[in-house]
Amino acid sequence: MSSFFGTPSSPPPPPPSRDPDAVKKISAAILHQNAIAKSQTFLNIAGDKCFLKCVTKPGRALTSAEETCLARCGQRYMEAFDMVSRTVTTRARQEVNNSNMD
Amino acid sequence: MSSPDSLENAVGLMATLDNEGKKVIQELLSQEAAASEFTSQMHKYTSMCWDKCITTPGNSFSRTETDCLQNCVNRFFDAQKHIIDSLLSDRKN
Repeated sequence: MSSFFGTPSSPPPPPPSRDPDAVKKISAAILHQNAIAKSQTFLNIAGDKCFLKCVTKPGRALTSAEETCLARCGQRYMEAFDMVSRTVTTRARQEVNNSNMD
Repeated sequence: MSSPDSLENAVGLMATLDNEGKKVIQELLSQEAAASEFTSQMHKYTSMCWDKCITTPGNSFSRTETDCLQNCVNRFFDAQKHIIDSLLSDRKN
């Protein structure tokens, strides 16, 4: 009779059943979750920035001018983010090239 | 959330991974962490330069605004360098 704690010679417990697509599924879940987090962060920041720029004197309701401004502002903020990212990447690449020449 | 992408499912699946699979996921996680660090830096620069360069967001950026955004990033890095250089040279003198 085998003891509850097993003996060195007892066979190892069977591995948990393997899902052949586990890696794929976990990766997809991680990427999906991060994409959600990324857009939430973006919307939070753009929301703050655009409120500051577009609703300068908050009234009883948003005016149509403010609404127009907010819509444009969201678009422009996204554009600014892309432009800044591209500029940083270009700059970083230049710095790397320069330091390689030293 | 019961989509196949849900995190609860993923956490359950993690236990079933062999070492090879764990390595792949760990690599993905550290890649994603680096990417999100990069993104948060980009948010910092965008926020800073947006405040400096954009007064009223229009239908599209003007040439002046575009130039300002790009100059803003480049001058920010110049400024960082300059500060570091001047602090280092002060120490030597």
